[in-house]
Amino acid sequence: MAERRDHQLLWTFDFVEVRGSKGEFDVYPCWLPHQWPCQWHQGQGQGQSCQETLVGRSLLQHVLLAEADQGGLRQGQAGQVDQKGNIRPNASVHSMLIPCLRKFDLFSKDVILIPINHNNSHWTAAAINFRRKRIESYDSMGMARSSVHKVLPALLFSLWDWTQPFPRRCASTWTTNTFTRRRNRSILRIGSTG
Amino acid sequence: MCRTFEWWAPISSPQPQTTPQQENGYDCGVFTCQFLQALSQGEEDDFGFSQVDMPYLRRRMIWEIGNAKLRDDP
Repeated sequence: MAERRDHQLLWTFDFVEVRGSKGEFDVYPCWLPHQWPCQWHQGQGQGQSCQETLVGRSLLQHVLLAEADQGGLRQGQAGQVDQKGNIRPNASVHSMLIPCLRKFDLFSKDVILIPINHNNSHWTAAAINFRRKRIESYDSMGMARSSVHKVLPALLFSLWDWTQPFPRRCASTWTTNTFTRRRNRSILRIGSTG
Repeated sequence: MCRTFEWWAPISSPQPQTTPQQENGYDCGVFTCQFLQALSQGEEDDFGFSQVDMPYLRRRMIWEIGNAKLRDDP
């Protein structure tokens, strides 16, 4: 029996806005601040152990509302991605975001679900699947894969950096190889697709 | 536990062959919602809906939002 724990103060994106094309993308992790409290949704996989999935509260509602009211899309903008793929959040947002992110271990979950808005004209679903160790893009028009696979790694690495308890230089004393390799790979990945 | 990204997967996902495709220009939001809902319930390879189900799924989502719960029937 799948257990549901409601009303925990957890955080995820309401959606991610991706703008641009041909290898140049701006990324906007967006959320609506008054809807920050999110909930755990635990689903029972077929023949697999119970997986934890992080979804925003009333995700369906968000997407429907956002689609109906294009003008309201930008009110939750959190930051911008620079050339190196690092996400620079707005300062005020950042100060609220980091404590929220640190309250739970994002990287111990099985799946993170992310609705993505492309150029204000198309919605797709994406998942960071930790269990299968890959980033998945589900596009009903079969188009947006390259941008998703370019953008989500940047987002993932930024989340990792934001939520680590130690600065990178301190962490390097106990995971040196991991960190250097990860950095290189992230840069490679971001620059080599699309 | 220290999770690392050494497993960084190449672009290898069960798509787009197994991803249901829309046949018009305005159903992407419904498809997206259904993808996410199916993923949250553990589906990964077979979504089990297509373009012909969209009118039904729209009405179903309205019901689910209005009643603030998910339906169990397929």
